Amino acid sequence: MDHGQIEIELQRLHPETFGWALACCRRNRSEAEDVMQLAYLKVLDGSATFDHRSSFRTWLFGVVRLTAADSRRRYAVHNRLLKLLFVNRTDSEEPGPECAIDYSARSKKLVEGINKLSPRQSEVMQLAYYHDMTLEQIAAVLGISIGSARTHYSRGKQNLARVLRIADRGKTGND
Amino acid sequence: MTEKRNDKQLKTEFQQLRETETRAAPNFRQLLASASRTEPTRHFRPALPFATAAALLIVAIAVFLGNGRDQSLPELTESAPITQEEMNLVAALEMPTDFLLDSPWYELAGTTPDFDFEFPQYDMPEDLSDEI
Repeated sequence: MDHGQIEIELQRLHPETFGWALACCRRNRSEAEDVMQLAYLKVLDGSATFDHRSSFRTWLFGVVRLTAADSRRRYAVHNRLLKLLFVNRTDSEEPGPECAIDYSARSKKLVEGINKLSPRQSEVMQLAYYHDMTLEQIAAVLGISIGSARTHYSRGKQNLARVLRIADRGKTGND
Repeated sequence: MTEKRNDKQLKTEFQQLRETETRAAPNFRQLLASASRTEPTRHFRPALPFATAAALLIVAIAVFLGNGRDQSLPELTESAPITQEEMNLVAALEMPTDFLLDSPWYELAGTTPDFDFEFPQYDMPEDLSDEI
């Protein structure tokens, strides 16, 4: 794939990639945008090369996931260093008002439910339901076996349904 | 049946979430332009003043400690060449503690006394020599 084709593919997948980046950054929009920028840079400057072993989307999602993990790790080290160096402050994990997404009440509940799952389960749920990926594709994106992806899928589905049911019951109780 | 319903419900909710987030996606061209201009540093930007302050503090401490230490060398003065008289004086110098060596009977310690008689011969008894 040449540079032009890659750019066209990136543009086509851009909205969906944004959703995936949000999921990797626990719905923190500014962090997700940073991760997307870094991932696009990696793809365009050739530091990440597409080897045609999977679809471009699967491969791109893998790049975004690794970039987000790397970014999160660096951010954690940086924060710890700041704490160590007499600076008693941490940036809030919650997105600021300037970068908040206007979720409906139902979507907000779903996001809260996803965030309550283990990171792996939330990733699998996102890829399965949000991006309509098969277990094989999910396994490729996350770099795990299909069996492992299946386990995370079934547990994630049970846990998410339970979390949403509890949230619904709580709401009904409050009403 | 319940699982199917759950599945369908989850799909619908995720679909709604996807629509909301897709609408909020940043402009691709703008993101790409800023990506190629600079690497994103948004999260690290607030920490920059602290890092600068820390660096300045370290430099200030280093300068302060550097000034406090006396690093000047003693001034070298050219001395005149030593004269023969001075050398003689140095050679004739006697230590003030030399008298301590002049103990009583010091001269005797340096000579062997001369006795005017011979010491009698003494034969050691055999039985005693065996014991020794």
